[in-house]
Amino acid sequence: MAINYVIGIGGTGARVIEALVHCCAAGLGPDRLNIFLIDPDEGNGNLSRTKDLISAYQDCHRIYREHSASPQQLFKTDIRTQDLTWGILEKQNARLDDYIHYDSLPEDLQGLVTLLFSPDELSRELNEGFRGHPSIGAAVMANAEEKGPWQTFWQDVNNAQGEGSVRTFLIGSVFGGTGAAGIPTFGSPQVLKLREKKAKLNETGTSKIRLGAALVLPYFLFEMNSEATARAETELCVTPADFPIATKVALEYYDTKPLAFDDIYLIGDDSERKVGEFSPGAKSQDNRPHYVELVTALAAFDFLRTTDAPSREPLYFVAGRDSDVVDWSALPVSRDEDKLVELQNTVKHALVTMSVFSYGFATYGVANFVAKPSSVLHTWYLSRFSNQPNAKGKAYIDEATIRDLNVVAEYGQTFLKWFAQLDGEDGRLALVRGDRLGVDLSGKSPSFVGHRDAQDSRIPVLLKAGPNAAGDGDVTSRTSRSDDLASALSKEGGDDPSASSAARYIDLFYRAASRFTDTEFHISTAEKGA
Amino acid sequence: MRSAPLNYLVALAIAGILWIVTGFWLARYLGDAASLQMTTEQFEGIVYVAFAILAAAAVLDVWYWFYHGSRSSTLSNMNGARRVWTSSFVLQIVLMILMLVTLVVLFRAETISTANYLLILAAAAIQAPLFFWLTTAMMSPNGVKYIPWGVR
Repeated sequence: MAINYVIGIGGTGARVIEALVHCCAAGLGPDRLNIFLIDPDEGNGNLSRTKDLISAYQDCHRIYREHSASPQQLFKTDIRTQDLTWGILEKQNARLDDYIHYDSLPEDLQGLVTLLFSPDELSRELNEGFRGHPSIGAAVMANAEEKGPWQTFWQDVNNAQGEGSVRTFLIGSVFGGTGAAGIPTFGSPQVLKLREKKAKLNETGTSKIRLGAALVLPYFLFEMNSEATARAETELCVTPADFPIATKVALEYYDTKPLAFDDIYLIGDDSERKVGEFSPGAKSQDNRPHYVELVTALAAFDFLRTTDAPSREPLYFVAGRDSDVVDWSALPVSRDEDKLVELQNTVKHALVTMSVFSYGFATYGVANFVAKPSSVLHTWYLSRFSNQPNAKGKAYIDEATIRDLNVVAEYGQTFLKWFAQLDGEDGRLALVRGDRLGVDLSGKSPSFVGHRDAQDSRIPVLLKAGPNAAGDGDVTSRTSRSDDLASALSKEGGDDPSASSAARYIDLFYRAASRFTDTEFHISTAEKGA
Repeated sequence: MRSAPLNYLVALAIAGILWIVTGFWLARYLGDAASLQMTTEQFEGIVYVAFAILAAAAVLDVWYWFYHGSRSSTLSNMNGARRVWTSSFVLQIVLMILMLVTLVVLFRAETISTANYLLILAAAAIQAPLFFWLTTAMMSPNGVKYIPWGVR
């Protein structure tokens, strides 16, 4: 079995990993996946958010998958993180001149260094990343030793057998600092793919590593107020105005340098959607999700799904918008044209089911397991669960189970928030209706405003009509009139009695959500699992 | 037993059997036991009709509950469903009392002992609220089977 690694580099890498983890929760990922993040800016808001998310995902995976043999796709992927983050710099407040020991270099080398780096670049503390200057990052990362998550990575490579058995996918932007530095650095033949005594198999260039990368081209803007503009003029950082030239230079570099990638995905968007306020780094760099991150995550899955042998020349895949509106049928989910529609439907079904599950679980599900036992009247609950420990044939809902179920409910809220925020306000994205997912997007810190009321289990109409759909309304289901999740729950049978109480409860809701999606949204897919 | 039309038909059959026990036999018994101004046939006829009306109302109420409990929308509003069931049960009690009062008024010229009126009340309780509770407890649609009192 191949070993899968996805490595998110920099802020964009962290945001794509966020999308990728949510897709794994929806069942779109591989069975097992190793993830780590590379970012010197450990306090970066995007990085912190992704780290918290991965931790929450792993809790949910443990609660659901390790205590049941369910064939469902929910939280299917076993995400492994020995050391989740590689901070690159070991010392606090490290500067480039410290890092390369500038003061102890011979005079002629000092001259070369001052030719390559400005005094500001040499003396800037790197705690908040490389500030859009990949030359600094490249100098630091090329010197990387086998520490942190790399130790596990190289152990896995060492133990792997056969060509391309360690599938490694790098994700980063080409227009920022860390990602733009990291991808070409790790793409250099000797750094990963053809590393002597580690990955290289023979002199013909075959390797244990199949190396892929997603180069994320500019796809968003920051809001630049006067204060931010003034700050950008005085500090070492990158602004949206720098994106085009940074991208042009980066692409010219990729075009001319002999990098060792087997598969390269180029992904971007020119909709100039604003994802937050300008920030050069640290905690304040916490941007709203963007659909390009979802597309990039799907590119990672396409790479990890590939079973054919690597070609001698790198394969390039390019994705951008064909029209003003992006709908489900515009998502580039596969390199294989024959499977494109089927996989698009699989993605749609999985994400809609996850939305229905998350919404239903965080509202109806929570309302029932926290309610006074005497007030619960539902057959689906009373015939399976009990608040008494010795109820024959029923799963015992104790305090520990309630804690576990709350963890999953909170993950569901996080998923809904992310999914809802993909929905832009400009009408250019026709995937979901963010306003129908029970998430309040009006505030800076969106909060879940789902109805914690057992009476309200109706799942709102949540899919948007694509540009080619008949009429101009949203994709409505029969939901609002005749059917709902409670009905789907009451039709479910076939519980696994050996599963834990929490796993049985979660499994029941997910099966009902899947049934609900089948009957209400009519997404045709021969195979619901990717 | 919990799916239509079987539960509808069984409820109708039970109501018919109960009517024979309560309405028919009780009327025959009271016709013999009581000292009547009207003819025995008139007395028995009034009791037959009163219990038949009560049985019909109870059957219709049970059928409505079966219909309501099988609707998908009911499952998302279980508190509402419990209100419907409770209201229906109370309705049966009200109908039972109304029937008793009606019989008291109609038989005011007759000499019927308190014990016999209590017998009529007991029979009406069997024919209406008890019948409603029994059939809904045994044969409610699956989604609402825990709603009737005492089932859990």
